Amino acid sequence: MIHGNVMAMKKVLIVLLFLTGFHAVSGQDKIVTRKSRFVNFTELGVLLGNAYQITNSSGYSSPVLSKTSFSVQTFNGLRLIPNLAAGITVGIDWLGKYQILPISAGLRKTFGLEKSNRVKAFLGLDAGYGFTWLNDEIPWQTIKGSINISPAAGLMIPTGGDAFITVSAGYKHNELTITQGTDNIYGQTSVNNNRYDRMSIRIGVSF
Amino acid sequence: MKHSLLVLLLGMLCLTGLSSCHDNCKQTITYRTTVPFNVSLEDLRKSVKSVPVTDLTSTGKIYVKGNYLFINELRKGIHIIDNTNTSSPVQVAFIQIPGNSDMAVYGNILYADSYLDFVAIDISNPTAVKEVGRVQGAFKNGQIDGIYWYFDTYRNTVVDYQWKTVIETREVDCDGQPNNYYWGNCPNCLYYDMAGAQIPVSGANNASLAGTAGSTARFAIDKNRLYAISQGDEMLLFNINSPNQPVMESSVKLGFGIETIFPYKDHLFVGTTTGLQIWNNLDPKKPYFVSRLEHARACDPVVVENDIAYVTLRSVNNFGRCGAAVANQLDVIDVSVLSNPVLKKSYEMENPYGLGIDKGKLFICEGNKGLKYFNASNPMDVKLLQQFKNIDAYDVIPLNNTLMLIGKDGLYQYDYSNTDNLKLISKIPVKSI
Repeated sequence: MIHGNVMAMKKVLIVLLFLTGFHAVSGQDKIVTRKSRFVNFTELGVLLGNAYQITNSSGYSSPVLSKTSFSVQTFNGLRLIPNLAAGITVGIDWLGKYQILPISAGLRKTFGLEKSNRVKAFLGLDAGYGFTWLNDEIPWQTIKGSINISPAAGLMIPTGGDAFITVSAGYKHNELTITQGTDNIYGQTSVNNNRYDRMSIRIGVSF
Repeated sequence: MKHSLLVLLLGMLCLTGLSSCHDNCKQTITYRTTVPFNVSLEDLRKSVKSVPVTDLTSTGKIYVKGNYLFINELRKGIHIIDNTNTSSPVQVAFIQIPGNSDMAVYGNILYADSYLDFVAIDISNPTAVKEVGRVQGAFKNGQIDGIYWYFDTYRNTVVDYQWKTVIETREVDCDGQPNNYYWGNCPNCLYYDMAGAQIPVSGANNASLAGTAGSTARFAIDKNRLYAISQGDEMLLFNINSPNQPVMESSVKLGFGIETIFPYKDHLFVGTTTGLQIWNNLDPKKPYFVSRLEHARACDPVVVENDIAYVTLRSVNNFGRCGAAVANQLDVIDVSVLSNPVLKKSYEMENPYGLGIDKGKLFICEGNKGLKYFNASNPMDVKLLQQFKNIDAYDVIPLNNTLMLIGKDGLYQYDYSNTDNLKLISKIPVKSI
């Protein structure tokens, strides 16, 4: 019960975190100028990859499945030098049965003139820890997160105002460890180490 | 120029991404499985003897007789411990008895099961015990530590199995639920973990000759009879009028899921997976059914004191012998009218295994949740006094202010003369293999 409450609180906190992130977006909308040091990239997209079971107890492999997972993330940071910003990236990746909440340190490098109204390119790199607070553990189960790394490259399409539409492609690595035990006399425990290496395709906004 | 370079970079990223983007999920399973082995009748029937003391490795039930403490080493035999000085118990000998899991002592005679046989062993000199009697083929099959053995009549051998731990790693579908097998038998049932303690029964015949067993013992001595529960849910009656030469008199069909037996006031309390049965054994050779109290299907060690029966029910996450019990609890049952037992109250427990009671002091083994010490002087208001969390406790016998506890990692002895406080006085550790 207590565990459940903690989980619920965590979920509320996460939602608040997102809301404040988005609030920052709308709040900055009106006042942001190119002079502002605040940089935001908010993106949603998919993580694509293959999944298959190469071996199992009876020794045959299962068909390769293509996997598509939904992913959202928001980067909020400060411009350190022209064209380079550093900040924090928070997101959620829905990976099949499990959800990962990565909190990462992020960098965004843009190319070209800051005030340009031409399409610009950007590079992003986020690295941090994928938290598992969103998962509800079933009895005898523990789910642990691990590092996540996400490099990406993309284009920023000017909207005429201060904001850009972004399109990016990249790579995302997530990891989970699921430990499942029992108390029966067969003493079975299983440890699943899940590594998700996915290609990411995202669209979003930036200013 | 710069732009096309970037586009190229992007394209390459996508391509490398596509070729190496896959989920790599490995599952490492650790489980116990069984490996068969045979014991020939010939070997079985000549192997009962004293051998030098060995470490406790895989302990079963405990039994007390006088200053001696007997600890079953699952399917191997019995450790004899001189417990004259409870603060420093001494291992005296080990009696090798293949296929042993139950025992009872009457005078100088130790009765034990040895796979299909029932053996009487003279233990006047523990370091040189003598087999004095044997009822061949008394048991048709049995179960020790959750594994069934059987007798292969064609090859004249007992086929038994050993536990073996297997670790396997394999690649799995990431969305596959981690495997979680629920097959298996009741981890709470006595042949696996034994359980609580039987109080010395006042008024029982020859109480001084017989020892004290756990509440889930399958052997009980009363009125010159040894009542043994067989795996076939029968009660076997051994006449021990002549202790050296036990004779199997008869067997009584008891019903399904019989687990434990102990005598109380000319009656036999039989613990089953579905409830408590009470049999009258005023005429020791012809026990008859008196009453039963049904409960949810669960494993249920039982102890009785002052016409109150204490039963623990343990919910186990499997669908084996005990079924999927719904609750972990202690039931307090009024048995003052033996023909009509009445459930008075239930208390919530965590993971109860065996239990023992002595003069209102109630001890409950909570498995991996440790040992709990209760004040049960008022059975309608049982109060927790103390909890020891760092032991994995299965079985207790409280006797003369010494609580003997067998757990996963050894034999513990506590002094319970002080009402509020258990004091650890000694420990014989289990050596892990």
